[in-house]
Amino acid sequence: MKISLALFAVFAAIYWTFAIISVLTIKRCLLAEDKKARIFIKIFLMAAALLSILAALALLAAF
Amino acid sequence: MMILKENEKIIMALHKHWIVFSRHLILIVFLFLLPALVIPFLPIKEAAVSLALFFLAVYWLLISLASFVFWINYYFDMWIITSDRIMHIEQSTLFKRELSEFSLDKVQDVTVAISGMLATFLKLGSITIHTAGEKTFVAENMPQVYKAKDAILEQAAKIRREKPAEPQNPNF
Repeated sequence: MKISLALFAVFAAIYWTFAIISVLTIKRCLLAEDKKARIFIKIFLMAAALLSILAALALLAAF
Repeated sequence: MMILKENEKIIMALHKHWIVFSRHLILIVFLFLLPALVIPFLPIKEAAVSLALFFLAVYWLLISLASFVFWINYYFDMWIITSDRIMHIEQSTLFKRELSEFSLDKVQDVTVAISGMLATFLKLGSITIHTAGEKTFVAENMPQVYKAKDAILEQAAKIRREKPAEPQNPNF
């Protein structure tokens, strides 16, 4: 169980580092009045957060 | 965030037509729904349901990240027409982009081309801008091409009108 949790923690850390770096990078290129892009970025981050929580809970329930 | 010059206004920001992104979107939706087609045929025991849910969540996480990268490559490939210049941002990959710009007073000619039935129906085409420096800029698969052409020509004419006439050289 500990190994599975550790592997998932590593995966989540890599995933979120990549996601946050890409969001920060593209935010620099956004136009000030581009609300559509901001909404899409928020949806992506929220979906990723929910799926990460779901994966963690499912892994905990599996053992 | 894009930095504009003083008194510079954005007239139009053009992204590629949504049809360009649609083939990626179809792939993303298919991959997202793929587990729903496959899972009913897998012999998953009751004890392994949580583990299956875990792998499903991880799979969806990867799909969501891939779709985000696809969207960035589509959405940030854009043309910005401001009151002074035209900027073209070419987003090749997530961390690779090229920015080229030219002043609107250098614009000499703008050509719009719409070819094909689908392009006519969806109003997408290419805009070719010829500048005084003999450079040509081409924007392909763009929506609102006529509107963009009119905006560019109108703004270029406005700049030329406002620009003071250059003094003539007495030697000639």
